[in-house]
Amino acid sequence: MDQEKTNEGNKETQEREALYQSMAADLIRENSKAGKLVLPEEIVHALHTKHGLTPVGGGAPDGGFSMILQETMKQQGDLREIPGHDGLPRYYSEQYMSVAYARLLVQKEGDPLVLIAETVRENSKVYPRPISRDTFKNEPFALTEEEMVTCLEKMKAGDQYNDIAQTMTSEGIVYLYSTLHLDPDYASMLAEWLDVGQYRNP
Amino acid sequence: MAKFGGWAGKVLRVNLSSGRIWTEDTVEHYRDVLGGTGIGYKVLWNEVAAGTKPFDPANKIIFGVGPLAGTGAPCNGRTAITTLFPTCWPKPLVGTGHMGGQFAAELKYAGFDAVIVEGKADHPVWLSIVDKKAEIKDARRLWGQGIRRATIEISQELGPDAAVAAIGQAGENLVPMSVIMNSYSHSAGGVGAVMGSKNLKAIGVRGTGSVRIAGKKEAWEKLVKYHLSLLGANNQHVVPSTPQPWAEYSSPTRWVASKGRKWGASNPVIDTGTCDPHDLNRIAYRTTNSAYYLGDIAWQYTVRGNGCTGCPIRCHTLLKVPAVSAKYGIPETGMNTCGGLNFGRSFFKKFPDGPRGQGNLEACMVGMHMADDYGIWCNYSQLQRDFIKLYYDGTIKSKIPEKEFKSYSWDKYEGGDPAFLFELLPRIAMKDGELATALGQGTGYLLEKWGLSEEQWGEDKDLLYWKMGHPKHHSNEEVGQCGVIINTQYNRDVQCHSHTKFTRNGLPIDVQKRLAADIWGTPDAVDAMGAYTPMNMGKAQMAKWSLIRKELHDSLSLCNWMGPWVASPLKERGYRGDDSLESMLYTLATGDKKSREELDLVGERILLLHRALTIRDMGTKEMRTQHDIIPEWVYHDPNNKPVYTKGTIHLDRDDMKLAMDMYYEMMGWDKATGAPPAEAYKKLGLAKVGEELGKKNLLP
Repeated sequence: MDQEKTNEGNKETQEREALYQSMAADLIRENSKAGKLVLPEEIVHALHTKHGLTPVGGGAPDGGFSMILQETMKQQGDLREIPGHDGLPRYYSEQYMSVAYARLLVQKEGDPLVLIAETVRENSKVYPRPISRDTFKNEPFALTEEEMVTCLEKMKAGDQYNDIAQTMTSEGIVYLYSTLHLDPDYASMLAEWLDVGQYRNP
Repeated sequence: MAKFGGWAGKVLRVNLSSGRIWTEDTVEHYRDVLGGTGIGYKVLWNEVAAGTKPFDPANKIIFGVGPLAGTGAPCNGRTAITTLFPTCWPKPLVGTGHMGGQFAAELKYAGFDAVIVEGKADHPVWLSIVDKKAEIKDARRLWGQGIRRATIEISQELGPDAAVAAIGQAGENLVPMSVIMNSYSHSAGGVGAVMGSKNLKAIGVRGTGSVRIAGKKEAWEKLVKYHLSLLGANNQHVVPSTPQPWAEYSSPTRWVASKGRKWGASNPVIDTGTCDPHDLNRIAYRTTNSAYYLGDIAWQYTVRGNGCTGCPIRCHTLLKVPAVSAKYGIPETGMNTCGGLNFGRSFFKKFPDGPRGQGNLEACMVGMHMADDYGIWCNYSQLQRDFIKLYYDGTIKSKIPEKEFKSYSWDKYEGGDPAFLFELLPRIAMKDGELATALGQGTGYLLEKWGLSEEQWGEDKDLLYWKMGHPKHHSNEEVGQCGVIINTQYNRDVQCHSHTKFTRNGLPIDVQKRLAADIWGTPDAVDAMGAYTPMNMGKAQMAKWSLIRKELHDSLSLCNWMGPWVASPLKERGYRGDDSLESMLYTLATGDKKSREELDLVGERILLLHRALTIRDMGTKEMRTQHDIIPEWVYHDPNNKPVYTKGTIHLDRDDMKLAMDMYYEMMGWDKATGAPPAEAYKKLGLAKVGEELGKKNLLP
């Protein structure tokens, strides 16, 4: 009898854990689809407040949710962890979010100057191409004009950003590039092509 | 019924001189050339003698569609209209205009794979095709009307589901720079006046039939779904233009959808959203060409995307700009894509509020309104580039009578006032005045008429002029030597997009090179844009592949602005598409089993037929020096940067000689002349064509 009760209790615990894991995974996936990283406390909060779920383990300050999270990450093949700007983990689903986008979101948490510089450098190296200044005012960067001006001024003053340069197209649009990967003539030509040449050569 | 699926089974033949209408069996006569341009070239070879002129009754105009039209295969809405091309200078030669819309599918549902028109009616007529029955009807009440009026009136007779291909006043007046238009905004350039010369105002088609698919339903549906899964946005751009949660890469492509970018004139307003490539129901939201071409201002005026039958891409954007109705007295809605959207704005050097402001948008609306109704062609904006040069260098003023010059409001033109187009465009359509008549002839004939030097035109890089009266179309500015080779091969601007789709797809150069190694045998087949390297056989292979696939698409009725689909947006596939899609679709639809290589041979046959026609009608085998011409501007950089350094697109003369050598070698053609030998014709089942050329001493 006691054994039966114990078995039943274990089964109930396992089922509850599985439910928590499933809900946690769904939460991460939904947020990833919407372009957001998820903090651990957001998962805890959601499970506790939205779903009225109670902790399963004793002793741990978060009521055992961190163990649930660890198990979720282990069981669900698409879920990933990335350290945030503060060093703490963020979670996303590789099914709906690329590692490149996750990295961008982490950079966005920190200094916008670093966000701009790293994005410009990556584009100059990988494609290679310059990137229009206006890009940073749109999603997912969403920087204000004030922030852009401040950042670009700071870049001029800082040694570690002296590779970030500007070029202007014939239609007055400013493009940013890194001289580590693009020389000025090439960047200028590419900017003109991207901004003007492409639409004039349909 | 046809033995095979795909084809409707019959080609409609119409002689407008005698009024005779009859049919041919498609498969029996044309299976070896598939459809579309294949049928066009074969008919011109067999039935139209060298020396025939575009407006002669003996010229034929062939509206060809392919076995995939109307099947539900993605991107299948194309009609190829092949004839002797009026703007081809100094001698008219074979050329094709291409149109999308609903015509191709409707023609198939009506029971036909092509309509071949010859002769000339003794009064204006239109051709009615309704479910296998064709009639020549009186069009005198339509003659003199614009395309819209003709379309509406014929639709009232045939029903709202009819597709109408019509000419406007430009075609009626035998203006070479004219189009045939169907479904209001889908035009085939350069061919309108040939229809006009036959007194043929329109072809109206209504079909209630269907296209038989030879393969099993489940297999067909699976293949179509697979094809859809590999689609990108317009022009098969496979990377979004801004960072998206699902995307590893982003680059300024035509995949402009993003959360917050909205079709502001739709009701309710539609957010284009993130458009994960795995969501096949959101393909139509990826592309908003109004914003791509006209700038961010266009979002608020965009209603939705529109396009060809069954195509999920919806590259024709419908715009609603209320201001133009009050300001110019034109409808507040207009719809088009690419050159059509650029038509009006390309005439102006500048606008008061900048290159992508309200003035630019209004010029687009005014231009579309008139060009698409009068049926005027832009020749890939060569019309507009010529106009700008001729005005600002004083040529127009010196060449036309003073009274005529003063009749134009040049202050409006210089001020970027779209109202100026109301003075210019109707005159082009009506051949009213020296200027309008000259512009309407096309560049080659205009240069000749005004005693201007084609050489001079070919030196000016801003004019983008190529040869024979037509401009470049995706040449060295984006695909180096491969683009130049491609641009030498036709008698009008080349209308090939196989190559440019790949290099502009948005993927980083390393990924493009990895894919290129699979497709063309070496990563060196592609260079980063503006970082060109010397010629190699991979680039020649890419040029050959691009041209063959263009002809295949134009003969199958697949859209060469979308296919081939060798790259995809799917990271899990390594961004690979599938180079065998055309052959898979063809095999399953028709039941005529062909591998990729076998179908490519058919495409090569069609391309060779075009070459043969050109050689015959030019009367020379010296194609390398007389036809496959490269303009001077290709070899010069405005800043004198050395060739093959980063930041320049110009090429080296000797390297281009090598490029042409490699291309001819790849094609099995004689290097000295660029002409195919008898063996080349024999290899592709065109031995008799080779023999006929041999008799005329047109073989190397």
